[in-house]
Amino acid sequence: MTELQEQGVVSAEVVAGVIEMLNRNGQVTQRVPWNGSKLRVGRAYDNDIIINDPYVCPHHLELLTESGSRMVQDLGSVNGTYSGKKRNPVNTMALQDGSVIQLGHSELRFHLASGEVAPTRKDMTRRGVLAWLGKPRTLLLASLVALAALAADAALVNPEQLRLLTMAGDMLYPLIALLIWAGFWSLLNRVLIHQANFQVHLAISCLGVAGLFFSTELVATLSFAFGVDDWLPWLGLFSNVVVLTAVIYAHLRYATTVPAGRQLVIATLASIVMFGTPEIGVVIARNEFSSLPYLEPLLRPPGFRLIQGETVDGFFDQAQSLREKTDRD
Amino acid sequence: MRFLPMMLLCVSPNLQAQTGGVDTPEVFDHWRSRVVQIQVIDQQAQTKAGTGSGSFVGKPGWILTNYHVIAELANQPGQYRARYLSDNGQSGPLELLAVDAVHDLAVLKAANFAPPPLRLAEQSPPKGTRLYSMGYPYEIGLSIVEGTYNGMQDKSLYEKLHFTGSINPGMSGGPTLNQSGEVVGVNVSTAGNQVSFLVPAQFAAALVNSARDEPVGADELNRSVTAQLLKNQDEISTRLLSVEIPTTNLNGYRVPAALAPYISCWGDSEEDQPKELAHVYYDCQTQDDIFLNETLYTGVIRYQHGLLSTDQLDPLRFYRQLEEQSSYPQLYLEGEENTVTNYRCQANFVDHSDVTYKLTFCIRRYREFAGLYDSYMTLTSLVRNDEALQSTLVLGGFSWINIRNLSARFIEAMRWSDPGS
Repeated sequence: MTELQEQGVVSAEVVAGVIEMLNRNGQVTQRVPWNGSKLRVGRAYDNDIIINDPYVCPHHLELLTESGSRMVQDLGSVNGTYSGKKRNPVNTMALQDGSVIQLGHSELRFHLASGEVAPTRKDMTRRGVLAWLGKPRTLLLASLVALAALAADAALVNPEQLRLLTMAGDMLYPLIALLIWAGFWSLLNRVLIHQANFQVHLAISCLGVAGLFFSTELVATLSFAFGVDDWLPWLGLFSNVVVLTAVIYAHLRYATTVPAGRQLVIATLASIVMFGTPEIGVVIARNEFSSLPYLEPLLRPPGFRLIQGETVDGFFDQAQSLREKTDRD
Repeated sequence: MRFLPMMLLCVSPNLQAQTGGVDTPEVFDHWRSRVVQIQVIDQQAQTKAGTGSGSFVGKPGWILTNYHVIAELANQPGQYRARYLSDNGQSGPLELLAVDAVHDLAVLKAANFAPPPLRLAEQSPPKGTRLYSMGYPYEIGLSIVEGTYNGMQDKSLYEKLHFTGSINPGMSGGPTLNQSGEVVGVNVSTAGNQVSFLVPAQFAAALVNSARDEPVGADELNRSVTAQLLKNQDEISTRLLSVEIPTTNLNGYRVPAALAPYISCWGDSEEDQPKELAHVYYDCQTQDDIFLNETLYTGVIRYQHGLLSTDQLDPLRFYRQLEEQSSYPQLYLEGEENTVTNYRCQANFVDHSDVTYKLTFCIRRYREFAGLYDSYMTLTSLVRNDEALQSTLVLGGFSWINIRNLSARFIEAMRWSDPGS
């Protein structure tokens, strides 16, 4: 029941149309059933539809029916009434299904009661992986996995004996970054659909951090195992893009209401930009002159090697092509 | 001017040295007109870009100096020109006739100025002989430095005489004379503390004898220097490849030691307690190189072995540390974009003598000297979880085939036997 219905201004049985109030993002903030009788719209408290917008007059416009047509009529407002994307000034105008009228910084949209609404969307956040992400125990598990990944990362690059305080120091900045990332998505979620879902976004972020660490290590270790060091930059980029796409997609599923296909496209593009842009920088840097060789050794313990090595002659036979490329530089 | 030839007729140089028949002021006065300052002038700035010294030898007007004194003129003849400035203030333009880049020598010709040339000594004097080095140090006028000859420089790839006397910047290319006024050597470098080096006169004689009395063009000069460098690296490689590579033991790893007398090796070790990462280093390199320009020194061999071990780090962390260490080149060859290309690298496993190595090999090409390359090779042994050998070999200014053969021989000389077995 709307406020007007509660006040008895209109009755649900005779509704012929609906007036939607839109916010700046075009989202509907309120729907008022309209049976065709005259409705006055403005900022004053005696209006049928009250709009809290300082650029709207106390009595700004009227919605009425004339000769069976739904009409809007400006009441001589200071800032005027407009329609359509081109903001055509309106004095009196007939309303069609979907007509949008602008007054002040606010918008109203008219729909016929018989107009079709979008199909009911399945709530994927209540089932499958997305539902699992929302559970408290998932957050606990994700936090532990993320901490393990950050600790492993800090330990791997630390040449000294591991000390808890040092490790905590090394992990501090990544943890802060993780919280900022989760907070950003939570804020976006709050703005777009009025729910913060911080717990869910934190769980997704934690799993993302762990996913990026373990996928990077896995790809590097496999590249070492099979002696395909040359592929590592591209394999690493690919795996990072895949993981980040999954992470952003999961965030978008919660934070926005756009269709899943578009969410996936947005997530993929954002991931490519986020990891691809630095990669472009690396490629440019590599092509710039350096008097030092660009060494990218991949080293893992001997047991990780899964292929036979070349003979010394075999290695330098392959290096012949290196020489030919150098001759063309 | 007649005094010394008369003395030569009467007294042998050796006897002079022993008796001290000529003193330094006399040497200076008699030969000062044969030594000039050489200035390399930047054509745009119209001022000196560098200075050195030279002496008149060979045909009339020919001046002998160091290649490194006139390298800018040789490399960029359009941008630079050269002129001489004599002790009595006479000056004039110079033309480049010939260079010996390997031995750091050049012959120039002065227009309209040809004092009688100095003679080049045919043989090195006995150790301890009194010698006189002349030149223009720090642009403070012609100077003479008295010192003694101390034989050939030990451990030198490119033969040099050891002169105990202070040769200072600006004296490069000037003559070092015996008491007869013969050029025993050409001033070339100093190690400080009166330890100085001379290019032996025999190389100067070879260059003077082969030079033609006409200016050499840029293309011909480039071909000549390239041929000299190729021949030199070929001779070095042939000598190295003709003998078995000597090795030394690093905790079970046999690794190449000093490949030749002119390669000097040094060792060091660092060990932490507890032993997270212990290092034993073994560094070798040739003692000298060939100057081509300010950023390109060639004809060098450098290598390093590092034995790294741990009793604290787990294998993943230990090998991550090795990865981190080998990301930064351990040995360095200079070069700029206009002289060398970027390095290109390839990496793979190599099995040799029951050991697998992770080997990264990189090469770059000399832009101005066709057929010459620098190489950077680094390898890590994959044998034990708590110990690894990391070796790096850098070859500067070698042909592809010699880089390949020397690098392969370097690896093939390596052996491993488990000290615990």
